[in-house]
Amino acid sequence: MHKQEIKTVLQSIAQEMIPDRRDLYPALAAQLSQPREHHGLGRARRWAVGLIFAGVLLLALVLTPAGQSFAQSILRFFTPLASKQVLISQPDYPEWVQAPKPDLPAPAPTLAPAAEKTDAVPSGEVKDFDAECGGTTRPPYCSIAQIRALAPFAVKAFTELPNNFEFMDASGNSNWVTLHYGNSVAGESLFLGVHAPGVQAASQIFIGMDAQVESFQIGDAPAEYVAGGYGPASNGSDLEWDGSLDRQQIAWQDGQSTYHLDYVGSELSKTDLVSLIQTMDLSAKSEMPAKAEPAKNQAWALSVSDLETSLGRKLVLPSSLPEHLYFKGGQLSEDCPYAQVFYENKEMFTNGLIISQASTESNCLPPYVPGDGQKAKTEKRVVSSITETQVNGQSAQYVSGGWTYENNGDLTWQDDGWTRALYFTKDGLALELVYWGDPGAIGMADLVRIAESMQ
Amino acid sequence: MDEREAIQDLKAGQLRGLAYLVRAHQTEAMRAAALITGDPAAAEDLVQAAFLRFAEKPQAFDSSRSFKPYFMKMVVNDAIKLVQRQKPEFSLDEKNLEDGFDLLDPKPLPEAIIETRQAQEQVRAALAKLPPKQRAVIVLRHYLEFSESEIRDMIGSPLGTIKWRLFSARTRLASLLRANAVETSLDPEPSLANQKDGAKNA
Repeated sequence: MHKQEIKTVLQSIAQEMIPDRRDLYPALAAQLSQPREHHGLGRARRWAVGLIFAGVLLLALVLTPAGQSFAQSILRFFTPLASKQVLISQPDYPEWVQAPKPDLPAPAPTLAPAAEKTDAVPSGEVKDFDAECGGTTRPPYCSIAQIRALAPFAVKAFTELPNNFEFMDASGNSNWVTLHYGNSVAGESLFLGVHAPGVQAASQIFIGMDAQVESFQIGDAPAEYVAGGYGPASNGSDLEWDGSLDRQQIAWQDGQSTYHLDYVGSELSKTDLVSLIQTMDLSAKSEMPAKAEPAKNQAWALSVSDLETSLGRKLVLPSSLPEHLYFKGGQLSEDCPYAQVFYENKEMFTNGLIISQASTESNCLPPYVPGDGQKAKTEKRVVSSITETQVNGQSAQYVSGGWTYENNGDLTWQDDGWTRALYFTKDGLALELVYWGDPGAIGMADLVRIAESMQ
Repeated sequence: MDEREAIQDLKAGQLRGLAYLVRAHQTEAMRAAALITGDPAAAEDLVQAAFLRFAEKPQAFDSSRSFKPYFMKMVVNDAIKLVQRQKPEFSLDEKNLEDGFDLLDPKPLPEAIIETRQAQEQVRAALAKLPPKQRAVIVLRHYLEFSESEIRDMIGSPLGTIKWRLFSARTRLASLLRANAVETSLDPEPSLANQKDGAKNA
C-alpha cells in the first residue's frame, strides 16, 4: 500500500464529509458565554459538588454511631445507592475570606518517627492536617513524607508509576489520606486513598445502583473493582451513574486499613492498576519527590518574592478575596516591567483573577481607550466601551467583554459576561484586575471590593 | 498571533486564543473524526466537545509541547469510544493476526482504483468495517501523517503494538477491498517500506 495513495483517497473522503466552510468557533463561543448550567464548566462545578456530596455522605457514615454500625455490617467496599440519580444543588457563591499571604514557606512536617507507625487503631491524637496539609479540598498540599509524618497510621504508596504519571500532592485528615498522581500529558488523575484502621465506614464508596462490582483478590487481600462514575444526568442538572465513563476504582484491604484507588482516565487497564497496586510499600522509594517546581520562565511560576526582587519594590495585593480564589503564581512581562499575579479558581482551573501592576511612570499599563475593531488591530488597550466607577473614591474604569476574531480577520467586541476588568491607579501604580469565568460569579462590585482591599 | 501565544492567551482567560486554535485545527480534527466515526455530524459534535474540554482546562496542557498531537489524541480517542459505544466489538480475532505478526506491508492498493469515486466508496466502506482502533491508526498514520513514534506517544502503546495494529489494519483493508471485486488490480508484491522501522517487538 502506497502512503501517498491512501492519503489521497482518505483526503477526498474526508473533504466530502467535512467541507472547508465549517467553523465551530461561533457555536463554541456561544456555549462558553452561556450560564454555567449549560456548558462544560457548569458540569465541572456539578462534578465538584457531586464529590462534595459524596464526601458528606462518607462523613455521615464515619461520624455517626448509626452510620458506623451500618457500615460495619456491610462487607462490600462499594455501596450501590438506591437511586439512579444523585440530586445536587448549587452552593451559595462567592464566600469572602481574608486573603492569605501568598509566600508562606512550605509547612514543616510534624515529627512522628516512621518506626512508631503501625496499622493499629489511632490513639486519638489529632494533628492539624487542615493547617499543615490543606485538608482534603484546598492547598497547601503536602509531600508523601509530610503526610506520613502527620498521619497516625501507615500510608503505603506506589514505588513505580506508569509513563507520564508523577506525584502531584497529598492531603487528608486523621481518618484518611489521599495521594494524588497525575498525567498532565493525557490530563488523567490517579487518587490513592488510605483509610485509618478501624474507620471501616470510610471505606464505603458510593456507586450507582446498576454499577457492576467485580470481587477479586490482590495477593491474599480481598478486593473489588468497578468501572464508571457519576456524570451529568440527562436532565442536565443532576448526576447519574454511567458505566462507560473513563473511571475505574479498586478498593482492597491491607492489614487493618482500607485502600481505594480511583483512576480517572482511559490509558490504564484494570491489569495495569493491579500491577501498580502491587508495587506499593512504606519505603523511602515510594516517597516520590513532589512535582518539580515549574521553570521560572513558565506561566505563573514566580513567587511574590521573585517578582518583588525583579521589580525592586513591594507588590500591591488584595487582602480580601472570594474564598474560591487562591494564589497560583506570578509572571513578569518580557518587554515592559510590569508584573502579573494569578489567583486561580480552585474548583475550575480556567477561571480566575489576574492582577497586573506597573508604575504609572513606565506607561506599561496605560488606561483603556474606547475604539472599534479597526483601531484595536493597531493600538493596545482599545476596548469597545468603558463604564466609569470608583475605587476608594478615585476614578476607575470597568470593562466587560473582549475582542474576538472573525473569519475575515476582523475584530468584533463580544460582551459575553465572561471577561471583566477593572483599571485604576493607586500610589503611583497602575493596576488592572481581570476576572475570567462564569458570568455572574464575580461582577463589577466584587472587583471594586477586591481593588479596595489591595495594599 | 501564533499557537504558543494563543495557548498563553487561553490560559490567561482570553477567548481569542481559543478562536485561533479552533480555526487552525478544526477542519483537520473534524475530518479525522469523521473518517473514524463515518458520521460527519458526530465528528463535529465530538470535536466541538473536545475544544470545550480543552478550554475548561488549558492549564493542564504543557505549553512546551505541540498542541496538534495533544488535541488530535483527544479527538481520536473520543472517536474510538463513540464507535465502540455504537457498535458491538468487531468479531475479527485479533489474537490470530498477532500470531502472524509481520512488519511487511500487506499487498498494496492499486493506484488505478483509488482515483475513482467507486474506489473512494469502497475504501470508505472498508474503513467502516475495521475495528475502531485499527481505523484510528490508519487515520493517524495515513491521513494526519503522524510517525509511528508520534502515534506511540499519543496512544501510549508500545511501538510494536502500533506497528502490529497498522499492519493488521492495512491487511484487513486490503482484504476488504479485494473482497469488493478489485482483486485483479492488486499488486502481488508487498512493500518493504516498514522493514527499516525496527524489530517485531520494538
